Amino acid sequence: MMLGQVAQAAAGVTAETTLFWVFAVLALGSAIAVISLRNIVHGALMLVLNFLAVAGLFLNLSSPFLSIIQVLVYGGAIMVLFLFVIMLLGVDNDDLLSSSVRGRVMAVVGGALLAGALLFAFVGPYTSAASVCADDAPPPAAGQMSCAGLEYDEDDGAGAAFLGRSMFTTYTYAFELSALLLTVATIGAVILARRRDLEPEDEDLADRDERGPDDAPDDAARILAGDGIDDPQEHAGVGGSPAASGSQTPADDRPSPEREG
Amino acid sequence: MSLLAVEASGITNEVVEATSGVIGLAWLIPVIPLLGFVAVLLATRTLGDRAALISIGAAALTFLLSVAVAVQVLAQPATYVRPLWTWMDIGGFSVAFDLLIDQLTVVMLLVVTGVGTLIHIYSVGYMHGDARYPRFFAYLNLFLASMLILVLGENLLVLFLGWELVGLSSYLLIGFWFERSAYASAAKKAFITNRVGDVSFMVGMFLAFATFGTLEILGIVQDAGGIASGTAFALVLLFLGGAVAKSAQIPLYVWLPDAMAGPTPVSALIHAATMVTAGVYLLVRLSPLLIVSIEAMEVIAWIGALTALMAALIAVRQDDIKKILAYSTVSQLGFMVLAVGVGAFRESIFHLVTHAFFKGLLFLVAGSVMHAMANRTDIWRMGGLRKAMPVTFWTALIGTAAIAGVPPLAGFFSKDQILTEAYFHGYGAIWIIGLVAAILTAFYMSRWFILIFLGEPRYGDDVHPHESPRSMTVPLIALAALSAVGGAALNAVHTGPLYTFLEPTVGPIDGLGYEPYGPLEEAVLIPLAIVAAAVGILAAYLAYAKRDVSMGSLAEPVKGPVAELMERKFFVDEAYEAVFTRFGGQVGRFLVWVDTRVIDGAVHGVGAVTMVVGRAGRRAQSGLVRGYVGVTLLGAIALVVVLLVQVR
Amino acid sequence: MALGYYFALSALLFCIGLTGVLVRRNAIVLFMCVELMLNAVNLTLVAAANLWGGPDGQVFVFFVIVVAAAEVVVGLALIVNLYFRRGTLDVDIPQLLKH
Repeated sequence: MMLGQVAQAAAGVTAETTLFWVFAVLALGSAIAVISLRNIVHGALMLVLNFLAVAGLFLNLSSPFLSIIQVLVYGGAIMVLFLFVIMLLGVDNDDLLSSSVRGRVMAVVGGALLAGALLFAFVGPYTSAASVCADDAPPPAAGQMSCAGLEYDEDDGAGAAFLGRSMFTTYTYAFELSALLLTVATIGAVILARRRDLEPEDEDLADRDERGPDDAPDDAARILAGDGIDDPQEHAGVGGSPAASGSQTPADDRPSPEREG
Repeated sequence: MSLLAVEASGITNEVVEATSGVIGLAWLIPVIPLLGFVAVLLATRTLGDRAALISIGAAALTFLLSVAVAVQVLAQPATYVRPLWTWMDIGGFSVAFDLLIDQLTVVMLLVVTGVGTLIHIYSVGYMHGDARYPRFFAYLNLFLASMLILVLGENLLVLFLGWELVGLSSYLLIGFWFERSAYASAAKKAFITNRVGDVSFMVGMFLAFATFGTLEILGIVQDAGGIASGTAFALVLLFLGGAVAKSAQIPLYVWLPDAMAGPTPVSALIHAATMVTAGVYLLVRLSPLLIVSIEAMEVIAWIGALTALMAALIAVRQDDIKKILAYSTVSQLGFMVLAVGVGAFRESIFHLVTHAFFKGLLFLVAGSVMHAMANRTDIWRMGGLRKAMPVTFWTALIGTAAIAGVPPLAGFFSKDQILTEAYFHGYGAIWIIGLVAAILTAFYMSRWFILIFLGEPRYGDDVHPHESPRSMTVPLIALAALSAVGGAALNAVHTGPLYTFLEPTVGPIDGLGYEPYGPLEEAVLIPLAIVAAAVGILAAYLAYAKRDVSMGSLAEPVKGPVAELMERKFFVDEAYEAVFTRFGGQVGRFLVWVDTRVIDGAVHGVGAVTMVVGRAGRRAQSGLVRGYVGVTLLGAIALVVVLLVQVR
Repeated sequence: MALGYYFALSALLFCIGLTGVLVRRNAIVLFMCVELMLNAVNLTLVAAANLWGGPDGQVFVFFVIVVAAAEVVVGLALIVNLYFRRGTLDVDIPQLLKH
């Protein structure tokens, strides 16, 4: 509500609506650009724009904490990772489009069909005048669902406490599991991306013969050290978070996987 | 030494656990022939004909040890237990590999090792020149070891081990000349028929364990008095099932005549003197259990009586020198089983011993004759061998007279005592059947003897009979001597030394309430038996010695359907063939059909269906990521549409 | 502002992402399209959380972001691996399963 209120004060009653339309157009436009631009780097940048637009929409939906996460994790870390890989592989100009025109047409038709079905089935009820979330909707009766938005104290850190209380009570196991998931993903990525394993077998053998036996321990030590550097950080982040205060930990926990990338 | 008394069973022997002295060495009795078997088998090439010496040495050594054990038991009568080791110990189930040595064991030991040794010696001459000469002696030693395990086992499972091993050696020796498929089939027939009995024996052991909680013979014997008569009935019949197969009784006797395919010493040792008596031994060993169920004993008596009669009837019209003896063996085993059934346990063992003497002798005679006649077996083409083979002739005469029941030879005492016991125990019908069988026995054995040794030679000019070598005649003479005096020496009267000796080991029959069948005294019964033997011999003399028999089997005095029936062995083999082989074959073929069509079909069908599904499914698994996404999209659209339809 | 507009927007974004997955063959672009779809779902969840007035929807979004981060890390590692082995990012080429 914060941004909405600010905008409302500046531009009148429809400020929230205005912001929605701005971000919606941005999001849709950038999304179409992502799937249609030939240059992958441009596509990735468009994706960043899309993420930011969605972050704005989150803000509009009175979820500032998620909005920040969205910018940090998606717009920041994940997209950096994408760009990293694109640059690393040097495949910024993609000439790989769908093989046939027919397939492309069918894909678009299919997508449009699903979009139409979804809009028709689920969106309609919420956009009608009878919807509880309509602008001129009557105040709900007691016990009935309202469209009042999220009710949380403005002072508790942009809703982070609101989120954290739930996350560390109801969803504690899921949270711990997600920590484990990130650890496993990190280790998996490290193992998968090791180039040594990818070299052809004969080359590898020849290489080893040239270096002689003395180099092997160094090599192993280097790998061990590399893993060792990653792991304590990961464990500190994951293991430390439940003990830390509720409002801080999610934000602290986030950056650790990206650092691995 | 620990002393225990087996009181509940009525057996008065004290149980002595002995690990020293002669009894302590008793474990050598089965081990020596086993070592002989292994040694001969391992060194067949190097030993050559000297293998026989090792085997005979092992047999003789075993015999001497048995004599030593017998002396010990005679001096200090007791039930000795020689603990060796624990064979298996599974939870509450423990099987000790102990040896049981009492008076009954001693008798069996002496018979098995004594007759066994003689037949080993005989085999030297008989098997001379055979291609697998050493192997034959190895098998003989294996048989001896197996039989001794059977006799010595204190645990039913150990006994069963020996039981199976004698079955194995019997199989190996029947099929010794396995190049001829008929012989190999005979071996298989013997083995498979015995399996039927083994199943019964095993079920009996299961039931015995469930009832007594142990398989130790002494334990079973001790507790036998306390069990329900129904359980005892079932137990006895189950063990009888084992005995019926091993001792060739109705309905499982069919393997024994075919077992004559084996070398003649084998027939003498295994299929006349020792192995086939294992069933009788088992029944007598379990006699304290038997007396709990008089009904089961009656079943035993009838099986024995019918077997004795039927086999004797068949033997009357056989032409094969060994087949006649084989059916005679079945008949005599019937007498033994009959004796067990009527409560004459010791008489049964007595007959077992004398039968081992004279039937072993008769088979050796047959071997000697076949040796002289170039392996000819048709008695119609023999005759007049008296002059050519004097030793064989005289020993055969003794043997024939002994089995026919001519006093004072061995068979007279044993058979007569069985019949009188049957009479005194109130089994009139069985006594009469036994008497008829005794007449028939005298008849067919005289016929056998007359056609082989008396009259004019009918064997033609191409055969030149000659007396057998000394290694064969010496056992003949020894067994003839035993057949002649064995009966009188062991047990001339009802309370002879053998009975006194055996008394502590068999179940007491005082409590069974036997009443004599009729008023006849023994003074009448014994002459009756002699008359029966005389009638049989006289009839045979009139039919075959006084008439011209030169035209072969056409000279049979009695013709007609009944004689035909006897000659064709009552069509039992044909009936079994029809019922078990044909019908079983049908069942087998049906099962094969079920197996190949239904079960294999199901298995193959599963495979085929999987293949079809896989082939269809492979098209879906294109590996195209975008293809999968497209299908997912279709699914999502369908889902939304379904929801739409449902909501509206 | 009716929440229906947010739902409509996220439905459109989702379908655009889906179309992108179907249209493009480049593995990296494919991945970016998947991220688009995830974002669309996130938007729905946040909007719904707003409707229900509870934190659950937001927590879901948080977890979606966590999973997405893990997925991107592993996915990109796989893509790098694939590129080194096959020398291409075309997702239609590695049809190893087919044979």
